[in-house]
Amino acid sequence: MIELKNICKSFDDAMVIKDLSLVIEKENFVSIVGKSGSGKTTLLNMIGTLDFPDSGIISVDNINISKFSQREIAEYRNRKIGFVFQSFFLEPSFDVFHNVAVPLYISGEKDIQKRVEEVLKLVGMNDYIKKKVSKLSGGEQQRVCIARAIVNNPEIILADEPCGNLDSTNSAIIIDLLKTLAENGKKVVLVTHDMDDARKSERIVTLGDGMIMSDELL
Amino acid sequence: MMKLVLNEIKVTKGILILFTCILVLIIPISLVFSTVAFNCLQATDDIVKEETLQNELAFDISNAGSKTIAFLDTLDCESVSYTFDFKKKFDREVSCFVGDTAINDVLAIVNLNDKISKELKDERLLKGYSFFNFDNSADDYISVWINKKTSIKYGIDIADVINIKNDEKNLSLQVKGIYSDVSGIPSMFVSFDSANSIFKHFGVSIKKSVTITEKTYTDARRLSSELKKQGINYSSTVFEMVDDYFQYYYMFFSVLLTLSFMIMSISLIMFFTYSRLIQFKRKYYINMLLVLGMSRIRIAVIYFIILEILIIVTSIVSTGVIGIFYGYISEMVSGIFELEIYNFSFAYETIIYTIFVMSFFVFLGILNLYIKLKKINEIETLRGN
Ligand SMILES: Nc1ncnc2c1ncn2[C@@H]1O[C@H](COP(=O)(O)OP(=O)(O)O)[C@@H](O)[C@H]1O
Ligand SMILES: [Mg+2]
Repeated sequence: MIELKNICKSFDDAMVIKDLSLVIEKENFVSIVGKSGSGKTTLLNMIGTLDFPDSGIISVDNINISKFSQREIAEYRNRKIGFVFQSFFLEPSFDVFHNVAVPLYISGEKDIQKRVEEVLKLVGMNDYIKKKVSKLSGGEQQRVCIARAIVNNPEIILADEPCGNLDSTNSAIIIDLLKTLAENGKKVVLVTHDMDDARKSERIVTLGDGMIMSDELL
Repeated sequence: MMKLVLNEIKVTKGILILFTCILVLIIPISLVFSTVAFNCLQATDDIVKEETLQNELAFDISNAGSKTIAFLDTLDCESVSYTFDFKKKFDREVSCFVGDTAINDVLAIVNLNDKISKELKDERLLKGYSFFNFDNSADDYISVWINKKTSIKYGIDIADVINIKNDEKNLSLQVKGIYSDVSGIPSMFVSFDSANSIFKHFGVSIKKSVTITEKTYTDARRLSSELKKQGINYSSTVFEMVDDYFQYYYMFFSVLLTLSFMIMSISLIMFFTYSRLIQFKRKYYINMLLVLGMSRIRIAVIYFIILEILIIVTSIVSTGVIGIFYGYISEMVSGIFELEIYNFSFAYETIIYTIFVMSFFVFLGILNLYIKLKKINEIETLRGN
């Protein structure tokens, strides 16, 4: 369960999130939509401890994540959260295997080979395991990212416009992948400005001016 | 973790190769300096050290008529020194000794046994001693030399057999020569090899070591260097006067060690540069690690390990290379500084010194990296893409 209570966040005097409260409990696939600059990324970053609210409480499974120590933050990011970004955020000098394996190296997992192969199969990238990520297409890179995001078996996937750099065919693949993950019990929070993508989820939260404009169950 | 280190070595190998080249220049020079320094330190190290006799091991020495005349005290059994005394049980007045205050005599006898060697001609070694009644015939026994006093006191003559006993074993020594000395104390000498055999016979493991006693520091050093040439380590050097040479050594030691430290500190700039390069070139990657849940301290440790591997490998390789050429290098250094360093050997402690100092500098460089890591804002980097 992800619970945001009276969250405020401002950058340089500009209030980006204004007293926002949101609970994500039953739905496994939630989209956050809204105009550019409406604070979607900021919201997602705060759930992922990449950023912290000025006031208000964010709790995940009833644990207040705003109070985390550095070590707890690291542990939380590594184990509990899987990040997928628009810009992929892969290490270009590594091959697919090593990129996917990084979270496992960090957590000190033992059976790395097996686990990486498993998730790569899941995203349909197991034939590219030895390939440099810089040689892959955007869609393929994003699939590698998803593999990396789920390799440590996190409960929550935070995807910030994962299809922003992709064509419609690849976008469909990525959204379907996220949908599958949600069906398999992961909590997926998808930030997008594409309403067609958003409609594939179970719930659409629309942000505007740092506030929730509408909250719609599908 | 190790996997991340290896990956990172692979990715940053350009920088690492460049730094290895610099280290290959810095480390050997500082190694040579610190080695000479450590030699000097060793030279000043063995200042008067009163040996206490521990765990005395007594041997009975009896003459042919099995009359006990003395027994042998040795140092601690683990590291028995050649500084041992033959002492008569319960009667210290008639104690005999071997070596101790007169290691020169031992040397002289060894040299005499090895026919007349160069050292024998050295007046210093023979001053106050004359050799007579020299018998080189029978080789059935381990040979012993006794002084005139011993000969008269116990009625022992050339070719007589002396028995050394303890509770279990018995060993015969044959008097091969009698010498006179100035001391007037009954004494006996055996060669180092013979002493070795004696100890072996009685099942005592010994380290070859002697205590050197000389008037001045320089003399003591010269003697210890002669012993070293013969493969005998000295356990301590006793001298009465600290002469100029001693102070010279001491000064030289500090100067050289400082020099070596200064040369190594060039690497400090290098390690800071490394930290800057990593911040610049690997910013994106480091940020990725942070987002994926790696703590800053562990990221810093990755780079610390990489630099540690680098300096340990280069130090060991440099040490090996210098070890091989050390003979030439030491001659060159001695020549340049017109310094006669006795026992000028390659001191392997220097590699530890080097690695220690370098590690300290690496630590400073990485600390800098760590502090800078703390200032990284993950979101800024994410937005930057
Ligand atoms: N680190 C930051 N520093 C300053 N302003 C920021 C920062 N991050 C976001 N903002 C501002 O906050 C607002 C919301 O940004 P963001 O959450 O990225 O919106 P969205 O993802 O909906 O486009 C924008 O006006 C943006 O300029
Ligand atoms: Mg955004």
